[in-house]
Amino acid sequence: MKQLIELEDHILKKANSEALLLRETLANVGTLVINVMSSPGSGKTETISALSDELRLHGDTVAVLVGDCATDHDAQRLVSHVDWVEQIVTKGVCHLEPRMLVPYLPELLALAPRYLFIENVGNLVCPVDFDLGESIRVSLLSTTEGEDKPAKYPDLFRTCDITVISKIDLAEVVEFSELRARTFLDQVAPNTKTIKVSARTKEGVAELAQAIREVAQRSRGFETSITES
Amino acid sequence: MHEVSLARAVVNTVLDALKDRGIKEQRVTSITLRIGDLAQVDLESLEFAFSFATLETELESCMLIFTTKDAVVMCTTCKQQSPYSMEHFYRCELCGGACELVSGKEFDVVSIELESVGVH
Repeated sequence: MKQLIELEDHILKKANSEALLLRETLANVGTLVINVMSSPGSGKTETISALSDELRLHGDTVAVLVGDCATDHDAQRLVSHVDWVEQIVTKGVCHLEPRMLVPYLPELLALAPRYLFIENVGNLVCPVDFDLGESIRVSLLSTTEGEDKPAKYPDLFRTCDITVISKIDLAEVVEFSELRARTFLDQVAPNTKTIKVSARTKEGVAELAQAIREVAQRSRGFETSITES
Repeated sequence: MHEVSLARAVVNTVLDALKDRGIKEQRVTSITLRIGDLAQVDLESLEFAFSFATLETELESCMLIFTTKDAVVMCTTCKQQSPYSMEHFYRCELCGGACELVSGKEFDVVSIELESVGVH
């Protein structure tokens, strides 16, 4: 005897409920979560370091959870630029999932940083579908990797609020066409805000920090925190 | 290879559903999935990963049935719906407005089929 049961459950239902837990509990302590996604080597760590320096100049605290398949190299690079950093070694998993972040929640709630950056594993495909409890998604498109990355990986860029055109100081050397990059970005992600940044020369870092602050000011968690402090 | 994570998510979704409904002594013979065109899932890789994810669970040797869903976008300006294309992406082919995705990212467990175990 066979029986059919209708479920209609999204397969990431469990992961999404963990993401909701992260989002709500961190918002309650006034932390804005930013998920940073891009190709390996496009400048996530350097950009977060420069951005953190800028945000901390204004008295804000910055925490980072950084994911890589192996090594704690990125956490070591970040440590002198942030208030708190932990490396998540995924042992080959190509993206971060909310369950990997949950163990750090007690420590993060005690610290209650103004900003939590989640530096995802360098990958333009797999991280897209996993909500990590973020309020902002930032992607990087480096001048060295080719202007058509957004067209080749439209899903990632489409879901991002901000796209950083990184390594802008190298644009001329690598003959990067900003017009071409912007044309592709406009097609796949019409609503993304684009900011040109060089983590080395600091060009655009203040503008990026301002864009993140503006989102933070609109978010409920941030307002709660201001009222309480 | 995020299909390994996705296969595990399918298994957990179904096992949770069985638990929530208090279903015991039943074998799951098939799981019907709905997968959108833009769900970024390779069906062959998913089946392969699924065969490992189900080992020593109630779902071992259960069959996966796939149904698909076309990707469709809708213009936020003129409200025109069109099939998603790699020519226009998220720009409206009629008015050039920004489009939103209406369907294509689905990845749902639609239903499961059960069979009683140990009944003569």
